[in-house]
Amino acid sequence: MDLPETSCDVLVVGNGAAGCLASTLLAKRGYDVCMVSRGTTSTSLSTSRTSLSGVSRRKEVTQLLRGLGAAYGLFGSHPGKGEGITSLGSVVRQDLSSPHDWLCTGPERTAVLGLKGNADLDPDLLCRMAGRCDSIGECRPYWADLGLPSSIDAGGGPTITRESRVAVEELAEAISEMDEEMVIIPPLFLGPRHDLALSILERSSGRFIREAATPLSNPGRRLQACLERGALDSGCRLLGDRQVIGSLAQGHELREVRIMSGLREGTIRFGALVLATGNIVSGGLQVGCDGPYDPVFGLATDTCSTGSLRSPALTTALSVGIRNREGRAVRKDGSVMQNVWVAGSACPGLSYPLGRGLGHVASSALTIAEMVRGYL
Amino acid sequence: MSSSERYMPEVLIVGGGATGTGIARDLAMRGVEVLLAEAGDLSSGASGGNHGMLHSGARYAVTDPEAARECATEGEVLKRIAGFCIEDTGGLFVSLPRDDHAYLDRFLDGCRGSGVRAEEISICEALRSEPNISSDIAAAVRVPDASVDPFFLVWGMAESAREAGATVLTHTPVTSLHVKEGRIARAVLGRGERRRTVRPEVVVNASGAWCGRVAAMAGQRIDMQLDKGSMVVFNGRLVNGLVNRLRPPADGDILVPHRSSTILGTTSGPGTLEDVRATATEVEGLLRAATEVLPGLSTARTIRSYAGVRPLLNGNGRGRQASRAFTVIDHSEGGVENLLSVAGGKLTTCRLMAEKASDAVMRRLGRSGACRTMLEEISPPVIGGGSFQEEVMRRKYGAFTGTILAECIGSPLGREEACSCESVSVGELEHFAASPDVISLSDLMRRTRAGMGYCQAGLCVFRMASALDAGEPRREIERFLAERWKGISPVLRGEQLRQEAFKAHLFKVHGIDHTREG
Repeated sequence: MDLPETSCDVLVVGNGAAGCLASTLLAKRGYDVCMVSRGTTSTSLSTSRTSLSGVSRRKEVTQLLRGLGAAYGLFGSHPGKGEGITSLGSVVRQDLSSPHDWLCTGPERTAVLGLKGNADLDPDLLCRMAGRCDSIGECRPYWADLGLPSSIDAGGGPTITRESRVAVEELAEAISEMDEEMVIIPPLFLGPRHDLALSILERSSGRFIREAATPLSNPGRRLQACLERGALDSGCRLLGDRQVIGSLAQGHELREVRIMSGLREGTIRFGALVLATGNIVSGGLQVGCDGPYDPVFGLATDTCSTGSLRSPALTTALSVGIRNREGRAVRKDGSVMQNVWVAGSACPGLSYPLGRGLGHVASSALTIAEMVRGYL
Repeated sequence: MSSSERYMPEVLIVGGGATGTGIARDLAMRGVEVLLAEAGDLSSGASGGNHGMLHSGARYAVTDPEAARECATEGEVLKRIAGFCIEDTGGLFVSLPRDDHAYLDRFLDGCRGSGVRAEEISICEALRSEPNISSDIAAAVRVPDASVDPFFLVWGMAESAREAGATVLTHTPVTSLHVKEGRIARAVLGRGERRRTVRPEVVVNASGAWCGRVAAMAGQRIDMQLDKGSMVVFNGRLVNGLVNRLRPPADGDILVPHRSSTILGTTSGPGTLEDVRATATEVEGLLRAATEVLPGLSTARTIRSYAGVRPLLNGNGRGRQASRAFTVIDHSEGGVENLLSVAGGKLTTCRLMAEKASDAVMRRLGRSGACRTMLEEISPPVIGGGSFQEEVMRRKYGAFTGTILAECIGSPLGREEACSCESVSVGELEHFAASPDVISLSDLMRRTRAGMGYCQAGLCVFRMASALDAGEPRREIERFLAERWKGISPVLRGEQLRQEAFKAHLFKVHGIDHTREG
């Protein structure tokens, strides 16, 4: 059985930060945009923390992210230098923060509340790590066994869901026994109103409630949901569980791709293609014995040496991306694909963890969206 | 454990590998007061760095009949007494058209002569039991090889020794042996606050590759030959039973299905005591050799590589030709009457080595007492019952499961999965982290297998650190990851490269470079 044939102005491959942002920008301009997603994105596994250091078009990037984040309680604070604290007590740079991010703000006494069964935050471990870091004030570990799930949907309505209200009450009761003015909790709440749940918790407990940066957990899922919502709201179509398996070129332009979903295959025709597939982590490139390669489009790959890891092999694999000339993808024979652009992490040097994160991805999406508009 | 605690053992055993713990168990069961001192963790030497193969003896049938005979009997004994850590998968020896056909007859003769139950089977039957192997094979012989988890075997023997009254101290190096009037008068163990002196009647040196060093403390000389063997670990079980190449022993001959993985080995070459690791060249050689038998192997996912040092005695031939038989060396001829060293041998024969060494100790003590180690089970194989999680644990910890189970299943937190590659629960981690034997994340891994799976501690390392409660968690995490990385870097390609890229992503958030060594 075949998938229905689809055609669009712009096909965006990949629904991570780069794909979502490029789709949003193009769909807002009135183009018919389709975005295909394969599965988990690196964005959804990130900490959602954002640094703007060295980002070009910083003002526009800030405006874009704050605009999209507003409905989701993300990036709400004024952009400025900030340092967030991770669940292991290390410090990450962060310019666009949310009111409940745990930043280095001063020598407040801090309580760290671990919830039994929640692997995101081990207060003992965090406090011992934090004890060695001068910029973090005094931390004290607490444990509570509240039987809460590790993610709770706070909903998207005017008030928070009943489930999250119950959780807030239980947390407030556990917190009421503490002396500290600031309490760190694991990132529990999901959904656009997660920040409202935290604000209610602040009001009812009388403490500042903060979250530590934890990867592979709810913060990344929030960011992913926020960016995907932005793309959908601007009119983009999202085709889930699709993997690109082949392509058809006409001269120096790509006309269609074959996609696969489970056992079904189909074709998508398009005017322009944006590759936002990330590097090998998210599945854009494959890794063979001789190193990474592009299995579908016959495109050339490039490496760059922004690496900070000790292993050269891993650095090479991570910093590899699809070679581009002014944003346009380059084939193995050196010719330029006129209607294929490379956005975000697939650009050498932008791939996390060797790259520099969401700020740069957003800046790349802005540039690529303009180029695609110019072409169309 | 306070350093003021006084130990007055009759026998001091140096080394906590398969030999040392075996002797401790044997002597304790004969009623002797023993103290075992291990410099690092249990099975941190060759007992942990081997193939995890319980030899039927077939591999040595042609070259080393004595070792073959010992393996044939001892393999069966271990299956009986240590069933909890042995998978009786059976094994095949297969030859390819280019291999020497005359070897088959010599092999079958050798097996018959050494009492190894070998049976030639048809090619069809061989391919039915091992569908992944090359259809070009020319001959196949079925043998009763098995797969053994050495970490659990050694730990089981140590626990069994403790139950019989032995004292087992890990992370307690012997720092000096003082010889006075032709005998070791006292031995100093541990350093700093943990330093203590013991005055044993007999000292047994069972320190494997370190035998020469320990003997030298008493002015004795043992000529050791350190022979390094490297192995590669693949994700998942690629073979149903052991698959050996039917030819004179060479590199990359053996594939062992082991727990959630398959182990390919080995190489043979000069080894050292420090920094034992496999190289990318060795890995490549192993893969090339084994691909002939298992054609899909080059595309299989390699998880890691590792190496161990065979503690062979010099003068018995070199490397592969060296005899795998063991020797109990009596140092009274060299002028120290109460020192015995045990050298050579194989994991499969560890119980027999212990028995022979213990007999010698008993003679030296002038006491009598028969060996009971082949009669009493370390832990019987446990079958079925309870939840899936309970069954997984029973298969892993055998009869020792009881107490761990109470802690794991008792609380919701304990049931939580900490390492999903190897299905290890938080409760298991906490149980073993509380043991005085376990001071590092590597120790915790050897007890529970957390971190041994395909993500190589990518996701469980923080939960392990959180259970261990080490003084300096970050440094401990970095040290542990560096140790993992040593094994990963020679096999970095394909799916494992993706995995490591993902780990780099994850660890960067915490400011940890998992590829950094030392």
